[in-house]
Amino acid sequence: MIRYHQLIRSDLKLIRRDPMLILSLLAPLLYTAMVIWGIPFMVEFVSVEFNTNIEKYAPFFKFFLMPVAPMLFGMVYGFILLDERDGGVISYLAITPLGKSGYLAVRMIMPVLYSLIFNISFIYISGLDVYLNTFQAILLSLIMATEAPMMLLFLGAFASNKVEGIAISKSFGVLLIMLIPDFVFQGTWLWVFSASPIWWLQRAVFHPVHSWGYLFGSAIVHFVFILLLYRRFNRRFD
Amino acid sequence: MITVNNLLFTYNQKDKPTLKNISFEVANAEIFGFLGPSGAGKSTTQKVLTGVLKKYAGSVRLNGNEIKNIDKNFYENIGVAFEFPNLYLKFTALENLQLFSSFYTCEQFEMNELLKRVGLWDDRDAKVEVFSKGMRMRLNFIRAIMHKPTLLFLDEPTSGLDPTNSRLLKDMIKELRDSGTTIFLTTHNMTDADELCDRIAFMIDGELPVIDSPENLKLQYGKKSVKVRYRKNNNISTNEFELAGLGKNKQFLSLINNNEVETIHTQEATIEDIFIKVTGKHLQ
Repeated sequence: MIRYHQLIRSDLKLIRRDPMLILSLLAPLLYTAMVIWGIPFMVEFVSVEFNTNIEKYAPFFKFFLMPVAPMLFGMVYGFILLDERDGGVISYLAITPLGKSGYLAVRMIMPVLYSLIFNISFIYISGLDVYLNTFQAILLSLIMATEAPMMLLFLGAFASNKVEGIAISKSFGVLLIMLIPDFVFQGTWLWVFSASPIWWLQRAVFHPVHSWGYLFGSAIVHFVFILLLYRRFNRRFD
Repeated sequence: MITVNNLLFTYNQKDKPTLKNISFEVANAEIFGFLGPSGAGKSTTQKVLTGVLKKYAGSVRLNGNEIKNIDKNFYENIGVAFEFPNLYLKFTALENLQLFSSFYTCEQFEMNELLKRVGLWDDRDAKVEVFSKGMRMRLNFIRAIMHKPTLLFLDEPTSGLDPTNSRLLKDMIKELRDSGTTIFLTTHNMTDADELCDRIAFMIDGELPVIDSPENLKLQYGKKSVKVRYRKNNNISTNEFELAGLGKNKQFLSLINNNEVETIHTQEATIEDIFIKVTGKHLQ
């Protein structure tokens, strides 16, 4: 266990020495503050100034921000991985007793843990818990947390270095954009957006009658995404 | 220590094999040199021997255990120093060693002593990103040996080092061999190979046409003659004589008795000459 512990400690040291990574880790805290104080302020401001009630959109805004945290945590660890691969460090770690699998486990599990803690806290802080029971909230948090390793594998599979990583990490935002039509429109055609793993989670929150079904579907889609990305990443890893 | 039999390795099934049924053995406490031009298959062989590539045909045994069946504990006894030092640049020298050292449970060398030995003690708290190539190579080397591996893989260990530090590392390599470490040395440097290796193998296009000690190869491929360089009437001249019957060779005896001899050298081949002769290729 000590070898994993040391790698985890060294990750935190690397993050502390890179202002961009520190900022990426702190960003979820900043937008959580926005959820707590910013959204109620905006609702009131728009109501007073424009005589329009946007309160019904508030839950969507809150949910929309939730997957950003696992993406950022995954990006932080993805950037560390890209730096390590660029510098040949992964090749060395693979021939230590830590091994390739031990190394990857740490890289994938740590952002999941941070995301899980964040997601559960966020659901209760933002008030999204009214849509889910406790088990569903935990399960949704866990499934959404796996977007962290998804981002990490995405960067590892398609970027050669950190500069490329910064550019392609933005394309992950497409998964978020695909949530918007589902909240605005209605109809079976919206299933075309089911390719986005987060779409299923959004449905689980805002279609409470079928929450379990959407959670189940979401777990499968997340698993398939991670498996495909892992295969692609693994080819580059060797 | 290492027994390789008919090792065949292909990266893609459609391509030609990178390693073509090579066989060799490395004994305990031996420095085995692996020489060959870029793309010959040296790195692939090292990857197979370190368990990184496992989809090979043939047999590769380390202390009797087939390498494709090894577990992570195997790496407790393996040390590797790659040609390009792969260290955490944002960490100091000491932080790098402390991190990598934590992956091993076996008895290790005293880290501070190693840093002092290779002249990095005063720079132990400096980040590796400010290190020169030579400093990184030295740190890379001590990282590979700090857990006292029984089998050590070294890839161009003296590349980028000044003569003093090159000598230091070569002395340390010999000490490790003398204390029982088996060393697999990959290099282009003929002087290093000649000086360090107990045996060398030439690798060309995935095959090993020659495996022998440097001494035997130099004798086998060298000319059995002696070249005398001497001064006569303020001019430098050179004559070459067959070694056979040299003591009775009147011309030779007359030359060394009546002239001021500058140098006398036997004409055994250099490792580089032998490599070119055997393979028809230059080392690059």
